[in-house]
Amino acid sequence: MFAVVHLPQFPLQAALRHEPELWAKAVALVDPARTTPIICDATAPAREAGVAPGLTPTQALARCGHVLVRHRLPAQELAAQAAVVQCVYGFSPHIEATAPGVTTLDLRGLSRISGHEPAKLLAWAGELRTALATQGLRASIGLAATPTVARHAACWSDGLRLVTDPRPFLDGLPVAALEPSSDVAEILRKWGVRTVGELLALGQEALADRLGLEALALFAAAAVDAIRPLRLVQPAETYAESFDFEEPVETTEPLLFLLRRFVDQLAPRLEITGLVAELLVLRIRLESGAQLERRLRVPQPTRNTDILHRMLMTHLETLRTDSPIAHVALALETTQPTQKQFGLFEAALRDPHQFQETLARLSALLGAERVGTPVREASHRPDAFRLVPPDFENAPTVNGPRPPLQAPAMRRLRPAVPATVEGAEPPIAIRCAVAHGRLQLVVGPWRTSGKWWEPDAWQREEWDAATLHGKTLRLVRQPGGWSVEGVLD
Amino acid sequence: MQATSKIIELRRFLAEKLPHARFGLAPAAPAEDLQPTGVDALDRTLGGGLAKGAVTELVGSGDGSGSAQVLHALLRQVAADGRFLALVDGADSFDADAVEPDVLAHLLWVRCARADEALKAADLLLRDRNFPLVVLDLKLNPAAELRRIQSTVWHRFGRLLEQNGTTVLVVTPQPIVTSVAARVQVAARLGLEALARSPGELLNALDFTLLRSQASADREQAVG
Repeated sequence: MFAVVHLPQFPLQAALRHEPELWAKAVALVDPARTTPIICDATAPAREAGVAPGLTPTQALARCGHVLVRHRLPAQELAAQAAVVQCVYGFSPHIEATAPGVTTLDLRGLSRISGHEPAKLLAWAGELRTALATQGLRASIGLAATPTVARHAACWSDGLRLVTDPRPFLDGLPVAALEPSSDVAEILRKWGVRTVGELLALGQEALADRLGLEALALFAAAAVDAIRPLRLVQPAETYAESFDFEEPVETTEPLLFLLRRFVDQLAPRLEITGLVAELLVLRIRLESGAQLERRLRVPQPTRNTDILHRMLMTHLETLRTDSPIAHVALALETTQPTQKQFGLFEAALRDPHQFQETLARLSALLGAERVGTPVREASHRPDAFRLVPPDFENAPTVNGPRPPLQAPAMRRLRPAVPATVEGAEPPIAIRCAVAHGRLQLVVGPWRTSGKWWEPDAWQREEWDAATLHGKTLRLVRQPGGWSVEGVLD
Repeated sequence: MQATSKIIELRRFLAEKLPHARFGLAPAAPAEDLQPTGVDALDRTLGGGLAKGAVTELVGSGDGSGSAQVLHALLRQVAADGRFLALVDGADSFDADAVEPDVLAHLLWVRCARADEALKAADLLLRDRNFPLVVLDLKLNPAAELRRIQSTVWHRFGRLLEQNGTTVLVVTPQPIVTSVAARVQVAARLGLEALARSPGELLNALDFTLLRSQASADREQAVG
């Protein structure tokens, strides 16, 4: 058993995927790749107003003054095709990208629809159709014993079509279903041959004598028992959407609206493949031609649409651009989800999901490298740490208050403040952004070094010094010069 | 009689709108409504600890005020209680080297570069409601940045705290928070000799001055 997913008006669907509300309006799709741009497709309201494929945009505007013109973009069609393949892959591992907007699935061996009972098959196809609808795609699905018949069923039905008896079904189709050349189609029309059944009744040999090799191709296309091997494809592991604004936008509202749609479409694709997003890559092209790229790391990888969207929203709240935005693209980098078992009775956090969202928003505001729980690096270099996502559920228990470490806490200055120091052993006076003048008292030095066997070797000399104004500084001398790394407070 | 009924009506209205507002002589806060800081002298000054569901301001005046020592002691206390602390570090000055790894595991550190970033981050954390204690450290932020903070920010924080009961400690170089439950000053002027002292001694040597207390203000108003 095979299924074929057919996306009618595929170029138009790809162009309007992020603006589905335009299906209710008069929209004409223009192919700019042609020497003379002409309309290649149009929505139903546009067709009702007289806009038809083959017209120039000027002619279309003359017939329908309010028609919106959209340009056919190969990138959008590729993105739509990638979305279809990723979606369909969740329903069958054996898939073929037969043509733009046409995907063939081999259903043999699928345990869920074993036995090929009509009710099960139709329920399965209905779910597939719903999954495609979340991607903004309107699909018709045909189910039959051969790929060819399934394709005819998909292309000549509006919704779902299960063909159990292929011969009468094919015989009733118009000859155009076999996609004859225009010359042959004209000849057949003059002969009064309207349906596939009428064509087949003429006989293969007799027709081949009169029409040549094309007649054989027509008969092959009308075969009900030919099973060809599929050219199997794997879905690309890229999760990206993009959009070109017809009119560049100056406010964040339309951008947020569009990004919400991107996230809503990408998250189900992640769900199908069982992945979660760990990095959001937001690319914006301005009208001036400048490009912006922001990489937002998700603290706790997720495919929760609300969290991902709020991350983008929080980031965009701080975004200021010099000119309007002409293009936006969002790509997700993915990883395998980690499973965590929460305790039955103890909960460190009242609402872990809310906390996850807050972390994501903080990361969008400040950067993921600036939010988290500090973990000291395995180094004796001072101030060597990294931030990791908090794991309060598994935080170690601290048995009662304990005395602090031997050294009192400093306040670190990050980055360290460069300083000019007079005298070396010991320093006598300092001049920098946080202090200047003679040093009243100096203690040190404490010399440390590390990683001398690697390119990032380090070597430092620390002094604690008190200024005449009562400020206590931590002076550090490194090969690059002196700096103040902390103050006592 | 008419004035009395209006006052009663006003009180009823305020009680509906501000359920945490108090009228007349406020009773002493029960101990469970206070968060111990881990610094005995500060707890005594505050009458037991930081008030829950309110903002306490710790003014670290001058250099070597001791505010960083208080902050680290508070983190240890929170970890010992098995709880968690969110530190919004306004100038990215927290010294992670001075804290044990198992205590650090109880910390969410939000490293900001400016005061306005810190306020936005604090706002997000207060809306989160997961953290019982949030510390906003603005001690090293330039005075120009702190002057730009509008008083409405603190009122907004106050409204959020009324709803979620989070305890907030704001560390500042001078008084800037307009609506606080308590404002305490610490001005230890720690010098180089402090580095040679035992940290426990250092904490005990800190001297705190209560600059403002909402409870005492309420009491004075009621007596007046």
